Amino acid sequence: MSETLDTKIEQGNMLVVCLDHQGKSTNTLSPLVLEELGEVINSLEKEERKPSGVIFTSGKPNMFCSGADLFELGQMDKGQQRHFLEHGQSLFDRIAKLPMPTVAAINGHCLGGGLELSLACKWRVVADDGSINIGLPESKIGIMPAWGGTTRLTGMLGPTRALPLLITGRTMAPRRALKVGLVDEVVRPEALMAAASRLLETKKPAARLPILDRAIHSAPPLRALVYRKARIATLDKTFGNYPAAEKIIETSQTAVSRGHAAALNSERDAVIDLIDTDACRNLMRLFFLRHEAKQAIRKSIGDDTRALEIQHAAVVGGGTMGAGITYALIRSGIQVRLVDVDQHAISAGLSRINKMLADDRRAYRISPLEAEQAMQRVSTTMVKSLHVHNRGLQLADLVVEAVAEKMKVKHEVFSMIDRLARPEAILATNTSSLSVEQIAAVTSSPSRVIGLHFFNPVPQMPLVEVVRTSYSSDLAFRMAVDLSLRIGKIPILVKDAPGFLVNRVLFPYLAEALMMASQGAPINKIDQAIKAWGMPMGPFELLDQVGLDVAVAILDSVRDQLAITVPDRLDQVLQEGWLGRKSGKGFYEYPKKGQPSIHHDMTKLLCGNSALDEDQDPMSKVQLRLILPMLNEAVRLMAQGVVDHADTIDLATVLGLGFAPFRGGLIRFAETMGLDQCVTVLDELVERYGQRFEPPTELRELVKNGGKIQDISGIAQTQYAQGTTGIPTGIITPK
Amino acid sequence: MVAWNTDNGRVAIIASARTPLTRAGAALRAMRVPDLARAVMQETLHRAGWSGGRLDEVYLGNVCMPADAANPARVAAIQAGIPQHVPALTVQRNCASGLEAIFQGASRIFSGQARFILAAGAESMSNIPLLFPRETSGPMAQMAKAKTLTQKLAVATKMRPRNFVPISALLQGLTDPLCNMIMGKTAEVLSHEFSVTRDQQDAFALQSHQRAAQAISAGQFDGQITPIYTGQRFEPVTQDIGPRQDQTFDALAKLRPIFDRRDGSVTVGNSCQITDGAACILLVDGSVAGAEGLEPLGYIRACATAALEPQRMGLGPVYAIDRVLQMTGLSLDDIGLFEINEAFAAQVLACRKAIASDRFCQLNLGHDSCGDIDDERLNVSGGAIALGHPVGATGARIVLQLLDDMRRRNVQFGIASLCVAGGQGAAILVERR
Repeated sequence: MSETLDTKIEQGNMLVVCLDHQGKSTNTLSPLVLEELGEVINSLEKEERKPSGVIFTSGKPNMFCSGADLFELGQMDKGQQRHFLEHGQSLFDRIAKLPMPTVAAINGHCLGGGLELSLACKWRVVADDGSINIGLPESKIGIMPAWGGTTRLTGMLGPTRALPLLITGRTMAPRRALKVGLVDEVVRPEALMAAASRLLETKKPAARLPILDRAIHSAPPLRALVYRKARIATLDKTFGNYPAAEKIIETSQTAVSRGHAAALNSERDAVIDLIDTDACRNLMRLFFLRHEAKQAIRKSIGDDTRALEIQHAAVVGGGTMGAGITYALIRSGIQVRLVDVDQHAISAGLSRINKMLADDRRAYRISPLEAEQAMQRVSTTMVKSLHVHNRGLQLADLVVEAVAEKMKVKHEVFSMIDRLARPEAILATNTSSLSVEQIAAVTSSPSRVIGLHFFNPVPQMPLVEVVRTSYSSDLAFRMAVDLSLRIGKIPILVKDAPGFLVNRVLFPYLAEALMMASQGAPINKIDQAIKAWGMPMGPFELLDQVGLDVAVAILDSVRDQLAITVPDRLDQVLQEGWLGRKSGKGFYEYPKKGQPSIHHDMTKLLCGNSALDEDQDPMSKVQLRLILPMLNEAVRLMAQGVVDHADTIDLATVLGLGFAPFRGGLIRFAETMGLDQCVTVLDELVERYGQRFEPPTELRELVKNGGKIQDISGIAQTQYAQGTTGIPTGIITPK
Repeated sequence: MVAWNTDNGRVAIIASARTPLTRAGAALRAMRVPDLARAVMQETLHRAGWSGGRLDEVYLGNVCMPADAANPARVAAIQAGIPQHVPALTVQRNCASGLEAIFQGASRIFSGQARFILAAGAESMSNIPLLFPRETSGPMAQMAKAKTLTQKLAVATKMRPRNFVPISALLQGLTDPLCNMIMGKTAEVLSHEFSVTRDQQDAFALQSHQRAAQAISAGQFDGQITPIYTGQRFEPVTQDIGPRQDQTFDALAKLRPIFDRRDGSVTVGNSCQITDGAACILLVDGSVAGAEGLEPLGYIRACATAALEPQRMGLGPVYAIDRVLQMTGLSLDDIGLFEINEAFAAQVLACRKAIASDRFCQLNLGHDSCGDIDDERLNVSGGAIALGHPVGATGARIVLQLLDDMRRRNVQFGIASLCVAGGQGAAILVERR
């Protein structure tokens, strides 16, 4: 028996090849695995054994195969990389050419190389489990499938269906994969092997391409048209920032026009090139940071987490955030008591939760029954009933507050839940900008209060800021972290400072955008320029999305501490009720149907008579004018020890505010541009627009003495260290 | 006969909840039996701050058990988040099913077999199905077996229009096969036997509406009710819709008798309404309640069931109430409040006359009259004529209503009782301290 896989003959003379890397929790396709797999294929080719069919499956629970080991790939030199790619390509080609039928019996996540292996089989059958992820996510780390995946998928689905999957790197649930055509059957988990054997015996030919796709294959002009359109559409979204997308289109076109061998060459060359790009390096680093962040914080709460596992929680407030948090909790099997002021608020909250579950249902992540069961975990109560039935919150191990961002309201809620919740229960606030310590001041024991800051929309946003005050207990911290991990989020630890991490760097950026609008700058061009720079949406689109009232409330609560400047006329805009998407009008107008258009009254109201001379302010300057204030703030929060590692800022800016991932996060961007260069531009901005751009002294010092942003935390440790806890505040272990 | 008397304070009632009661086909029509039961079970446990994992058993009273959820008790319990290791049983004693769930639970605690029991009752009168006639099933089975078109056509020609005339399971359920009488007819029997006039019935019905409407406007049900959010848009249902604030005697008097059009006096106005709803209470061993510092809403002192001839089922409460009094040695005068389910005004009024009558009591109970259940002690917050009668739920609902009124009026003893189709009665005696 080999180290990474296990082969046995099952009844009916079928060979089962079971991937099961000894001593590892997951199956990756390392050079060793490829070698051992090669030996098996070899014996089949030489007809040493003659099984009637081959089933590939996995011995790990929940994991079929996660593809190539990225860490190993990163360690290789160019020659080794090329060899590794060739090895995989030829191995999968040999699997595809085996004389007997083959089937991949997919019993867990099937990603990247794992799916490429499955694509080389004649059939793919998957266990019906909505939590399983299937897909080719290579483009998310800046590369592309290069073990024949790009080529085979194009051949199997045709370019119109294959390209979106390859370019977005989207992963999906088994039933969605079935719809898309990635797999042949989805069966109940217990019947997986039986179904695999049945498929091996069928004489049924594999599914044929629809007629349109066959036409694309055989008609060169049509082919050219399809690929030209794909290039334009992709460029529209990526602004050329993601070279992998272009390489994928190129290789796919090669596969259609010049055949299998040429396409494999193209795959290989493309990946060798891509690995060497900044985008790929940055994306891979973020990928690792994500894992390290999870591991490090999991380690910091210790191994024994049984006492932290909560059965019941309560959520106060059924608004967008409260509903999102409730959704996340019930999806993880936690019973939730949803509290709100009256029946209408509760009804609206339940509708929001139900909508999020419906999205999961449509994505085949959960069955209709599971959606119903999740919804049944919510019980509701009104605040006034809690005064009558005053034990109504006693079951909750954790109470999460998600009400309006006003200290007075927060205090009302916290004095209520402090009185009604069990004394041992942990109380969390989802505040995005208020001081957690100040909120906790009204409770009888501030040690059980902690900040748990989720991001909107909760189902999609993977980040949670865990805000530990100087009073927060170990238990509160550990429970908050354990819960975040359990519901699939990435918790980062921050200190209780205005705006914590994400909003603190985001709001100087939004405030500057508002200043620009008040000076008459063209908002749509700014949005476009920022998207071209790599942000998922422009600042004005984002303001409309967040809601101007919410944004102004947060700005108000942080502007004094952070020295943020905002335009004078904001209040007038609020009075007009132009709050953004939710009110139909903000910086843009949002018609019920059709595209949003600029809402000129808004900009006029903000800027009065001033108008910007565009020649004076080229868009490249505009980008930095918006981005660099973020850097200033990031330096300050490093200096104040809000976070203790610059990597945390990179991870949080990407996950929390969508900071251009290919740039690797805020700090990585600044250091790539050069800190001296940043300071030079900031000085220019100071001269032109005022003191608000003044770089912090720590940044100037760094430029003078040389060094990295991370070095600032050294200063912080001596100045700000308030070692109230025995637990390290950072989450990223330095390599 | 089943009757037993618990030691004082042995079985404590810790928390309770009920849904709003709404007419069948109205606001709660989308809630199936397990949905209704789940809502009150979840809420009761929360109100008690009691983890479902500690329960020994869940009982649910339900009359028309849903075809898609055999043993709805188990379905509701799991859906309420009660862990799967807790068993659940559905009980059926017609209109006393909700009370029977409490009896079962109390009995288990009393015998030392259990310490924590969740007892509920639920009924979705909206979801009681329409049935095909029995003779339709033969051709239907043949149709399922038919393979070719000719075979199918051959079977189809055997079908007759009458095969497709639906039968109301609701009407069937309200008809006692033992005497082939729909329940209203048994009320007519009593109205004649005890000379309960139409005016007396209508006056009683009017009073039920007035009392319930009064209680609603004073917010007295708010503490019992847990709002239900139902349908695609989670519309909130927060209040009982049966009681009519503006109900007049004249309007009731205009209604025509429905069960005996020529000589009867029972109308839809002086009968209970057909309604959806659920109610639940948490029963805990009294010693545990004491040890954990819980403040019980009350204690169960005695439970009894009794039976008589099916045609006079409406008198069931007389027999059952007599039994709990005999067991506890208490007299009618000791009892501060009564809940006698208002299946029909005629039936409740007949019970009052019967229990006050020496002749009736001597003949049927073997002793002199028990005394009078005066108006001021009976159904003080209205009853099923105003609020409605979700058959499986009412037994549990009137217990929590009784406890609520006992607290409000600072009364020590109370009795809740129901008449039961098929000729039975059930009664429970509760006390506050």
